[in-house]
Parts: sequence; C-alpha cells; structure tokens
Amino acid sequence: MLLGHARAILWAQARSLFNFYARGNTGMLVFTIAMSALWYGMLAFGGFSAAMVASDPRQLPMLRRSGSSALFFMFLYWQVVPILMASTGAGIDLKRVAVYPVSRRELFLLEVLLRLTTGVDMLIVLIGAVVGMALNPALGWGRPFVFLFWLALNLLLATGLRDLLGRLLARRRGREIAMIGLVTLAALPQIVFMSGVPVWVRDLRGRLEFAWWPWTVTARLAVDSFHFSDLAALAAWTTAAAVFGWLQFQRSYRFDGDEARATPVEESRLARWTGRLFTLPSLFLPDPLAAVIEKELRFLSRAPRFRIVFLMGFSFGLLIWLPLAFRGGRDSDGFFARNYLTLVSAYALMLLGEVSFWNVFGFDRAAVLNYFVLPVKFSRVLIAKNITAAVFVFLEIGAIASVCFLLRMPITLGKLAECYAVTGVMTLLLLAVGNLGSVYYPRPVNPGHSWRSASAGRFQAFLMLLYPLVAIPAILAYLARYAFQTQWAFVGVLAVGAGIGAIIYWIALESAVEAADQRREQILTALTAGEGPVAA
Amino acid sequence: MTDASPAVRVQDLRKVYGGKAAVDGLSFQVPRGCFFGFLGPNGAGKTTTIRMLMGAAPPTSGMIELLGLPMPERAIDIKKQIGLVPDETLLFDHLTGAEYIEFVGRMYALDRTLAQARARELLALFELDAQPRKLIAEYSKGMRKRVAMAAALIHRPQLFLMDEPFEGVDAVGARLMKEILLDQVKHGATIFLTSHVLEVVERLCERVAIIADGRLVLEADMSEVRGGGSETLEDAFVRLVGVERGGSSSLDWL
Repeated sequence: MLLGHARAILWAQARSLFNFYARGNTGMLVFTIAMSALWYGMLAFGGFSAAMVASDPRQLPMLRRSGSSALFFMFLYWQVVPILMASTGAGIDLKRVAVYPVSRRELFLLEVLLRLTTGVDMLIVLIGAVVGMALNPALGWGRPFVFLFWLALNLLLATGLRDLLGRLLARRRGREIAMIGLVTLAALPQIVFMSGVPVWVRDLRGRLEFAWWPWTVTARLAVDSFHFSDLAALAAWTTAAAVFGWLQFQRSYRFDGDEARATPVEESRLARWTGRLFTLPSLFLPDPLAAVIEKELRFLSRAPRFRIVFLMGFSFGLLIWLPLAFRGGRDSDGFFARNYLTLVSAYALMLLGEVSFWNVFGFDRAAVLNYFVLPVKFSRVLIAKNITAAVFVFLEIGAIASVCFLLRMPITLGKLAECYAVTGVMTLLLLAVGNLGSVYYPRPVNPGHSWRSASAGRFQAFLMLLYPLVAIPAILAYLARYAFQTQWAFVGVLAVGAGIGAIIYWIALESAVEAADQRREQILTALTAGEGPVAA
Repeated sequence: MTDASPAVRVQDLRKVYGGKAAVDGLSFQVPRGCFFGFLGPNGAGKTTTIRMLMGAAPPTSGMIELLGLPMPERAIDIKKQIGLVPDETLLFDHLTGAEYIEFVGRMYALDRTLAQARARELLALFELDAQPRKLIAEYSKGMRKRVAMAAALIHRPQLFLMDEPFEGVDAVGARLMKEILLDQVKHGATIFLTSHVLEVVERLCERVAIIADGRLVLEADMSEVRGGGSETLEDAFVRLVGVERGGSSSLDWL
C-alpha cells in the first residue's frame, strides 16, 4: 500500500482545515479567500502572460536568449524566498507522525510533494510557460516534459534545504547568527549591485558562466536543439538533489528539537543582565500595567520566532533597500537615499507586524485565559501589549540607526527624529488595526518555531492593502514638505496625522475590548487548538 | 523475536536536555502480559521515558527493546504492534473523534472501511458518540484521554504505552477504561502506563517501577511494594521519593 499513509495524512489535514474553516469566523474565511484570490490572481496573470509569450513562434529567439536567466530567477525564488520570508511552507509534523508505523521513504515522498507549497507561486508561472511551449508549433509538444526534471530538482533541493535550515534554526546557540548569515548571503547580490561589481566577483562570474548549470541545460532542452548530454546533465543534477534531500530528511527524522532547544541549566551573564532591564517598566508605571509589560518583554525576547524577525529588521531590512536608495553609490541624493533610515524602519514595521501587531494573543495562547480571569481590565492588557510592541519598534529603529551609523551612511539627528516620528504614527495606526485583528481573528502561533510554516503569499497580499493606508499620514507629510518646501509643513501634517491616529487608536481599543468581552469563548477556543498532521 | 522475551527491556537509557539528564541510566524490564505501572514525582522523567519508548524522542544513549525487537532498528515492526495513549500534544484538535480514530487506524494500515467501522464502534464503547460532530479541540480533558485510548485499541496491539491515561477522566469513564485494559491483559497484551493516581495503579498493576530525578529507585512486584500489607503504594512512594516538608508554618502569611 505505497503512499497509503501519505493519503491518510493528507486526508486528516484536509479534514482539519475543512473543520477549522467551516466552524470558524465567516469574516476570517472571506478575508482568507479574498487575499488568496488577490495574490494568486496576480500570479495567474503572470502565468497567462508567460503562456502567451512561450506559445508565439516569433518569440523563440528571445526565449533562447533569456530562458536560462528566467529559470535561474525561478530557481532562486523557489529556494531563497522561503528563507527571506522566514516561511518554510507546509511540512509534515514529524514529531506527531513518527510514532506511527510509517516508513521514512513514504514520509520523505510526502515531504517532497509538500514543497510545492513554497513554490506554488513559481509553479503557476511555470505551468503557464509549459502550456505556452506545448502550443508553440516551432517547439513541439514533447519539449515541456523536460520541466518534470526541473520540477523534481527544485522540490528535492527545497526539501533538503528546509530540513537543513530547520535543524540549524532549532538549535539554541547560533540560531540568530545563522539567520543573519543566511539573509545576508541571500541579499548579497543587492550589495554587489549597489557598490559596483568588484574585480574578483567579475572573475567569479566569468567562471560561473558554466554550460552545465541545471537552469542552463533545462533551458537548452526546452527551447534549443536537443542533446543527450544536456539530458544526462539534468538527470545528474536531479539525482544529486535527491541524494541531498534524502540525507537531510534522514537527519531531521532522527533529530530531537526539544533536546536542541532545551534551556541550559546555568543562566548566562547576559541573561542576568537583560533580566534586570526587564524590570525597568516598574520604575515608571504602576502594576498591573508594568507587570504585563515586564512579562511581555521577557516572553518575547525569549521567543525564537520574535528574535529572528527582530534581527531580520536591522539586517535583511537594511540590505534589501540598498540598491533602490543608493543606486548611484554612497553619495546618492535621491528621495530614497535621503530617507533611507525611515524607509528601512517602515519596512521593519512590516516584518514585526505578525509578531507584534496582528495577533497579539497568538504567542500567548497558554496565558490568555489569565487575562479573562485575573482582576485586570482587558484594556490594560491590550495597552501593555501595545506599549511592549512600541518599545520593540523603537529599539528596532535604534538598532537600524546604529548599523547605518557604523556603515557611515548619511544619518543625522534630524533624520533620526523624523524616522521616529513617521514610524511612531504608523505604529499607532498598526496597533489600532492589530488590536481589532487580535480579538476578531486570533490564531495560535508557536513562539518556539523560528520560522512561520504557512505560505507567505496571503499575508503579503494583506500587507499590500494595509500598508498604503497606514502610511497615508506620512505620505501626506512628505508631499506637504515637497509642496511648501518647509520642514514645518511636514511636522504640521504629521502632527495632525498623529492626532487622528490617536483617536483611531482609542476607538479601536474600546471596540477591541468590547469584542473581546463578547467573544472570549471563541478567542480561548481558537487559541488553544493545535494543528493537523501537516503543520500548515 | 520470541514470546519469552520481555515486552519492554531498557538498558542504561539516558536522555539529556540542556546539559541536565532527564533520564539517567535507566534499566528495567516488563514481562509480557504484565500490567506495569511506571511512577515518579513531577519532572522525574516518566514522560521522557515513554516518549523514547514510543519512538517520539531518540535517546542520548542506551538500549531499548520492545517485544523482543530493537528500537530504532526495527522501529516499523515494533510500532505496528503498539497502541499509544500519548500526551495531549499528539492529538489533532481540528478532527472529530471519529475522524481521529479513523486516521490512527489508517496509519496502522487498516483498510479505510474497516477503520471507519471500528471507529464508530469504539466511539460508542467509550460513550463519545453522543455528539459526533464535536471536534477534539472542544473535548474535555477526560474525553481527550478516552478518544486517545479508543484510538490505541483500533489495531488490537500487543503492547500499550500509556501516558497518564486516567488523568481528568471521571469515575465512570475510568471504570470503563480499567475494565477494557484488564480484558486486554487477560488476552495476552502488555500494559505500560504512567499515572499519578496511585490508588488506580495499586489496584491494577502487578508490577511497578518508581523513578526520581531520572533514576530508578524501585522495581518490584506490587506485593513486595506493599510489604505484605504493612504499607500502601502511596506510603512506599512517599518514603522513596518524598521530601520532608516543614509544613505551612514557615509561610507566616499563609
């Protein structure tokens, strides 16, 4: 009964999802469908465009010229984007499934198939291109079959990478450093692009122009003359990916995450020092507000998921915007270069959103009952969580500014103040929306997981809609400064934005408190539920 | 594999978390057809041990043999013959009771129709069939234990590994579970359970092991533990692992 277990696991997962959505909040269901439709609609349009181009015989020279580059981009997107988004896609919850008599081979096959969840974006475009090629009279219907190898290669390699990174990031020591290393590596092309290509990189590039890369041979097999040597090379790459994927999966199967994550018996000096820092709120604020803030500070700073995202804000966030801001080198004077700090800080807000704004009780699933039974006003709890989020946002900006300063980027005190003001107003609006989202759509999140397992697509679509809205006061302030050529116009508009933001925040807070009171049972049920056999 | 081999044999088992040994050189045996109680205070290493026996956590060192087969070398053959009542984290909250039991049946390679039929019968036996659409997430603690127990029975295993099976179960449910387990032992199955309910262990188990700080402090037949009736299991347990407390007088405010 080959794959019988896999069928049972997928069936259980499908039932879990159906039960979850069928009984869940209708608004959440509609929201999920709308966001998915928006994101995948855009990708489907991309797939359709690829089909149109690939089906046109007149485009054959262009396909031959750029096929390899397009496939290289697809390869990067498939393998690197999950790392950049700290999102691994759905994967088997080995801890729960390994207790049953299921062979590793079968679990591995299922895991490989589940890698489609991280590559679904590219898969939609690829399907479009394949359909187009099959319809292209100059190519013939058989050519697209080469993409089966290409697909297998990407799935197998992604499986191996996911397992390797999963184990790496499950370890206490070095997890954050490893993550910064990875995102830096992934963003390296951006830095090279900004600072000009060094000679050694140019030499390397010359050496990398290799005729037998998987994307090169796949492109040749798909749109150029057929050679068995190309097919043999692609088969060899696919076999190598299979061996890598299988070996990594074997190691993950034997790996004990609890052991790797276990808290050391002795407390480090750093932990003792930061432990004292966490008591600072008690100096300025009364209990229970200070107690909740202190608890939040301790809890979040110990949660791997939060730490990774926080670190990404001032590492990856800085790197990813470099090419746009400093296209002309360090002395660039464009809008983005002048407002680089604010740009990166606003981007960091986006990264922090999931762990600080949208789902403030998600990490807190074990403690959330306390907020309903302890003699504390629910508004106090929300305010405490919001203050904690604001503290981390301001620390994040401080970290970004420090890195900019160390890299000798053009940062002035005025720009720093401007950055704090802009992100402060945006934070206020994000907290307002986040408080409502947290009580209307609470979702359990495992703070111990370094990476999100769900696909990033829907979340990105949601942010695409929300961010322009919360950025309106800042955009208007910049426009005012541009129109009136005075800093006072900027300050005035932003101050009005802050005032309106405060009113919106206050109304949203009252609504969230009221909703939490009415929906306490739904909130508790939603936050205490676990997942299915596939962590999606 | 021979029937003469013990159902569970553990030798020098060790599991280290964060530099601390949760299980430290544990060795014991459980004869076949035995109702075996594995006891210890909170944090003694019971759940860690049972997770290693289930194959859910690899030991740091040591040897495990279940039903005469070495773990993990023959893991698949062993797992086919084991029924698990795991801690709650291994349940799937968004499935109904029937769906969960069917899923477990299919994981033990039962035909889907047979798994569905047995799931219905087991739900009825454990009195969980009154609300068939109820999700496990909505179950009480006792109901979760009952559904886990029902799922453990679906493939008629030879060895049961149970982590706190009676925790949160009401008296009626506990009575039913005890009867089912005794019936399984009568038919040759071996039961290995952890429990904090010492009265239940005393009444059901023929043999017990007690651990503290990851180390074995006692392995004996129940009659030996009772010392010919001079003390109860609770007395022996407190004597072996208990700490002398100064009483509440040390906390003036209490």
